[in-house]
Amino acid sequence: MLPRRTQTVLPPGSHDLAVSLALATLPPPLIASALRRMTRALPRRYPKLAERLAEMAGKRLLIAPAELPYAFLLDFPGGKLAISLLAPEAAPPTDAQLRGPLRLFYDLVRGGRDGDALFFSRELTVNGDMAAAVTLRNAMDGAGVDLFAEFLNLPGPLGPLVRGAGALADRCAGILLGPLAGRTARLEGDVAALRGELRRLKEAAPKPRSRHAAAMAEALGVKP
Amino acid sequence: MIPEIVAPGGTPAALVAAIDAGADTVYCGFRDATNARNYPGLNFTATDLKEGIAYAHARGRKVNVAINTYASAGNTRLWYNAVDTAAALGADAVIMADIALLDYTTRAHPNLRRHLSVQAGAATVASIEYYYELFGISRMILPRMFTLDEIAELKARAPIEIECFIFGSLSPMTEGRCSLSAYATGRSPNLCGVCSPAEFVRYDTVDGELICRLGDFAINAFGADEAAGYPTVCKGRYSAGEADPAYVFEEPECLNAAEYIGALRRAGICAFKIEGRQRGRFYVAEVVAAFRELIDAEARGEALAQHAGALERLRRLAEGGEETRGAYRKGWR
Amino acid sequence: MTTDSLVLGPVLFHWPAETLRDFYFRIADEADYDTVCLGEVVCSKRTSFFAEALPQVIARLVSAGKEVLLSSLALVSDERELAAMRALAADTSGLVEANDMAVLRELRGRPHAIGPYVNIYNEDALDFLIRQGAVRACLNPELPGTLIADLARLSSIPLEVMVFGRLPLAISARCFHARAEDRTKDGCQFACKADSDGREVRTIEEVPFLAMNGLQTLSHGCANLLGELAPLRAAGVHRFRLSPHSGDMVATATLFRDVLEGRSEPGAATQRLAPLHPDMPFANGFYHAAPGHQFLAPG
Repeated sequence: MLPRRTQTVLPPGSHDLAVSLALATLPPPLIASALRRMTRALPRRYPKLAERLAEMAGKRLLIAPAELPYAFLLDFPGGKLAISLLAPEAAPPTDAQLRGPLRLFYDLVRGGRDGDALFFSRELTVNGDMAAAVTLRNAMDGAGVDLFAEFLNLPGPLGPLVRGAGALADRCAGILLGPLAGRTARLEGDVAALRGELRRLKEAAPKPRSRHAAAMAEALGVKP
Repeated sequence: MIPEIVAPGGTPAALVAAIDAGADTVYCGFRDATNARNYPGLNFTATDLKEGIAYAHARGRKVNVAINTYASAGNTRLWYNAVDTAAALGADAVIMADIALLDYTTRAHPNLRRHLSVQAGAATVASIEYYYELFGISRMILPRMFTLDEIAELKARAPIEIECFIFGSLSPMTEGRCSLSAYATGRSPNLCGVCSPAEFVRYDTVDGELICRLGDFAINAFGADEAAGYPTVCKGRYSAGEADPAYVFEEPECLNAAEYIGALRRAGICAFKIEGRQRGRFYVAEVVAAFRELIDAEARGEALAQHAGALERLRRLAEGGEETRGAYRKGWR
Repeated sequence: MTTDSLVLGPVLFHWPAETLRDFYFRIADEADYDTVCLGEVVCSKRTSFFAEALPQVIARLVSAGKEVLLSSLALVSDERELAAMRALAADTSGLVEANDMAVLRELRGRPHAIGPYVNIYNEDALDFLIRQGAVRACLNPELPGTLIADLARLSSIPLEVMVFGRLPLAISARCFHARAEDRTKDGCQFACKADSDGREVRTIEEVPFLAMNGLQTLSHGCANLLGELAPLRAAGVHRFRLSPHSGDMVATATLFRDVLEGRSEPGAATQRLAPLHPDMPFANGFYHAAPGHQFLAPG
């Protein structure tokens, strides 16, 4: 079965905030139980995931988002993902520890466009077994898993609660920030125009972006 | 003739994403040492490949299978089996470098298209002709950009198609002939299909600086406000002789040849290859979609400058910076 | 019982023509090598300097009883270089060693040698090349001992292993020496001339790591397989290549010969080898399927 595409396409932003709020304020036992239900459903919804997670068997990862009072412990019994909550200082030895802001972990679990933030962002620190973190990311991305969407689409009250909070946040933002947003949009337009002008000036003195591109230009007899 | 977009299918999800975004062909590998992106969690089982090929063929697209590492003495069966499997599943081509594999495939699967990988390091018209004469390769993937004269000469001497890289991370060293990573880690790219593998990577903070290492060697260091990079051995900072640390081999930059789409097409390039089987599925979808727009536009005779949005998206992705720094996200609509 | 051959590999560095000529004269007169490789492997821009002295050097080596092998470029990048190789090959009656696939094409139909820059990792690739006329092959120094043994067992031609010298790790179309001086290959001003054993490349922690040599990147560590000569011979390898450096290559050959003929133990020989090539720590990691820079000292 090919990786299932998620039913809802989530724009980045408002749901991040809502989920963050939920994770930060809801009672940990509620979160923990939601995560258990979510991970239990994964093998059925993503049959290929187990095969990719098989190499993680016996490994443990600690994910410690800066904004939360607790951390996530990831286990992989028999190729299944299990997530539990714990106090960061009470963490057992783990193969890798990832620390950073919540939004970067969303990238990891949603296999999102910024999944490569793992490698490029200074705000995410990875200690220990880098390969374990990479394997997890590759496995989730490869099986088409978006844990974020899975969490939001859980049956039961939590999903709608969080989605509702997201929608509410959107509406509040619209009311409070609408006028400000309008002005910001105009300023952004001006900045974009200036950036475009700057780029045109830069490109008037052309400089190929890479040695390969320069070699291409030369070989094709094209001005770079 | 519109050149094909040949997109990286690091995983089944990436294959689907690439096809949906408009790629004509996806290239992928098996979950073992037979391909040069043999990283944990990536790649395809036989079943994955069968489904991926079905998905592609149902939409009139193609799947090429990369079997582009070098078969190991005493264990050649693993690589021959990979070729057999690709053939049995209906792969549209196999991409290879090892003479033994090219020979085997020519004899055992004469009707299976054979593409010459950059891993073969064939850098002249003469060497490509050699592979054509011995193995009947249908296409070669250029390790460097040939001049117009060389392309013309090649086409005169060997009726093969030419594919070139248009986007992604490339090596300054001749592919298939580099042991830098093996020197630092003990894992050979040619035999194991890995370069600068993650299990040898460590990040350490020393005096506020983040130092990334590969095996015993520090490859680069990043100050407090610099984005970190991955310690690919040839893209590190080193001191040569008396000089200060610098990117003595290659800057950690990305090829983006979008602006040459027209020139390349007119020169006779039949396919544009996007590097990145180790990148995520959304990255692949974004790059493919941008090139789909640009290539189709160019074929219609439009100026690429009219597609500033697509060009800008590619620029940002090539610089590997803005988006992937996980920088602030615009949350409010 | 096959006799063991010591092979002097081609000089990889840009030594001045007189230095090179004197070096080969001394090798001819004093050194215990069975085969001497000549030829420019790294950069065709260097070739013209030695062209005049080449016939004289060949004659001197041949009359000293050495076999002369002509090594090709590792990366032939255009037709001009290929034509030059063709001309050189036409002139020589000895074996030509192909280091690039383009050269192999030129040598079809004529017995030839395969150099360490052509990838042979399995018996089928080796067989294929043998059918195309290869009569000898020097293996990629990255190969672990187990793989070498498998190849040697199944090979119908003599195999050769590099046992001394900085390890060639990569070749490129870009010149790193020129780049280090802010130049390109075309305007290089022969920057590589400054470093007779390659220019040391250190990490940001000041740990020596690699050595740059024009288009080529070498290891900082110097291969030393004195301790592996015995298992190599047992596996059926009897040709041993020493890659030349600025240290005493005559004395180096003697040390290797002494171990091959049982006059010396590898440990003692290693201790005498070190002062001949100061500032180049030893390495034999590749043979042991370990990171190449590591060195397992002979017992």
